Amino acid sequence: MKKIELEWVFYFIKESLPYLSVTAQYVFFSLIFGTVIGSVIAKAKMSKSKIANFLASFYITIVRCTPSIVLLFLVYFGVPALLRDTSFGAWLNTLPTIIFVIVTYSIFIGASISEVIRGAFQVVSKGQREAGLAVGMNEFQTFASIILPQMVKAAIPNIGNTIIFLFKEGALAYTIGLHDVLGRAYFMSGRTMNVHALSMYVALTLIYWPISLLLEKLFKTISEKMQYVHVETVKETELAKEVKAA
Amino acid sequence: MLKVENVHKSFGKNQVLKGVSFDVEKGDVVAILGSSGSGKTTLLRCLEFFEKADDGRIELGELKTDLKGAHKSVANQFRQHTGFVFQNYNLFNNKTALDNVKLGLIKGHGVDKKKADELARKALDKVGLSDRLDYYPSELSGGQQQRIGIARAVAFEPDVIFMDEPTSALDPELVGEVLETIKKLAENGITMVIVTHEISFARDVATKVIYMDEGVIVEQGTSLEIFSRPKQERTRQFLSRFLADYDYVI
Repeated sequence: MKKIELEWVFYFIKESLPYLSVTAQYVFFSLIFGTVIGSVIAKAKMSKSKIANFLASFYITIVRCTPSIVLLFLVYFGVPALLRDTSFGAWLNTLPTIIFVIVTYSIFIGASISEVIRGAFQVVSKGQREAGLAVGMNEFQTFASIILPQMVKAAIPNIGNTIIFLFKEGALAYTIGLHDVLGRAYFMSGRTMNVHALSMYVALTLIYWPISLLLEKLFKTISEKMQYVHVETVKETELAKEVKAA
Repeated sequence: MLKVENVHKSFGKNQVLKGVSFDVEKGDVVAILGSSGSGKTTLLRCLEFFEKADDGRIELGELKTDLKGAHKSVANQFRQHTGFVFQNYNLFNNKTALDNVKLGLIKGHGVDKKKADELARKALDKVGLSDRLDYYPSELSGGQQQRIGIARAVAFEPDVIFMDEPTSALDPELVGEVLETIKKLAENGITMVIVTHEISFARDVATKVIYMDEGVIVEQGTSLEIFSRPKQERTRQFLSRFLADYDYVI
C-alpha cells in the first residue's frame, strides 16, 4: 500500500528543487523565441498580403490542433529521423535535449502569443499613431515611445498566463528524458522502484503550487502597478476616505 | 504660404475629393464648412499625409510636393511644420499632460529636454491647464483633453495648424472652453485651417471660409462675403439651416 512518508517527501524536494534552474531555462528561452515567432505571425496576420495572412492562420490552426506532447515527439524524434542521412540530422543528434524542448514550446506558444500581440496592438488606437506622426516623430519613434509601452501593458496578464503554462506544461519534457524538476523526481523515484511514488507527487505539488501562485500574484501586481494614473490623485482619494472615516 | 492644388481622393469607387484647391496666407483662420460626407475631413487628412491622395500638390513655405506617392520622409518634413488637432483628441494615453506636449518637441523636433519642458509648460499655460501637468488623459475631461491636444499642436510653433472637427466629440457644455482656446490662438495670429460644424464660431473667428459639398469647393471667400452675401444657392441653403435665427427679426 502506498502512503505519504514525510522524510521521502523532503528527500524528493531536496533532490528536484535544484533542477528548477532547468525548468526556468526552458520557460525563459521558449518565451523569448515564442515572442519572436509570435511577432512575426502577428505581423503576417495583420498584413494586407493574402498569402502572409493565409500562412499565419494556417500556422495558428495547425499548432492549436496539436497536443503539445505530439509536437514534442515530432520535434525530438520526427525531425532527426527525417534528416537522418544528412549532416544536419547528425548534428541534431548531438544537441542537448533541452534544445528540442525549447524549440517545441517556442513553436507552440508562438501561436498563442501572436494572438496576444494582435489583441494588444488593437488596444492602442490608430489615432495615437497618427498623433505621434503629427508631432513630427517618425514611425519607429512613435512605435517605441507610444505604441509599444501600451501594448506591453495590455499583454502583461496574458504573458503571465503563458509563463505559468510553460512552467507547468513544460514538465512533459520528462517524456524525452529531460531532467527538469519533474524529470529529476521521476528519475529518483525510478531508482527506488517507485515505492515512494506518492511521496514524490506530494513533493512535486509542494514545488509547483507555491511557484505558480507566486507567479500569478506577481503578474497581477505588475499590471496593477502599470495603470496610468496621476499618483497624487490616488493619495488624495485615500486621504479623502480617511477623512470621511474619521 | 500654404497652397493646395487639385486634390483628388477616392475610397474604392467612392470619389470623395474631386479636385480641391485653396490658398492660406499667414495669420489666416480658415474655416471649412460643409455637411457630413462632403469630404472636409478627408481633405485635411490628405494634407497631413494620413491618407494618400490620388492626385494634387501641396506647397508650404519652401516645401512642395506631389501628394501622390509622397515619401515618408517628405511627409515627415511637412509634419514638422504643421500641427494637427484631432476630433478624438488622440492623446498619448501612457503620458502625462506635460509629457504629451514634450514628447513631440524632444523626439520629433530635437529640442533639448530643458527647453522642451519650458515650451511645453508655456503651451499648457496658454490653454489654461498649468494645474494639470502631471495628470494622465484618462483622468481629464474631454474639454481638458482637447485643450492638451491643442497645446501639443501649438508647442512647436508650426506654420499652420489643422483642426479636424475639434469640438464634435465633446459634451455640449465643454464645447465653449475649447472654442475659447481656439479663439485666443486666432487673436495671437496663429494660422489655422479648421474643419468645423460650429457655424457661428466660424463666423466670429474665421477670416476666410470655404464651403464644400460632394467633394468640391462650392464657394470660398472672406467670412463677410460668405456669411452676408453668399453667391451660390447651395451655400445659402446650407447656411440658412444653421443661421435661421438671422432670417427674421422680432
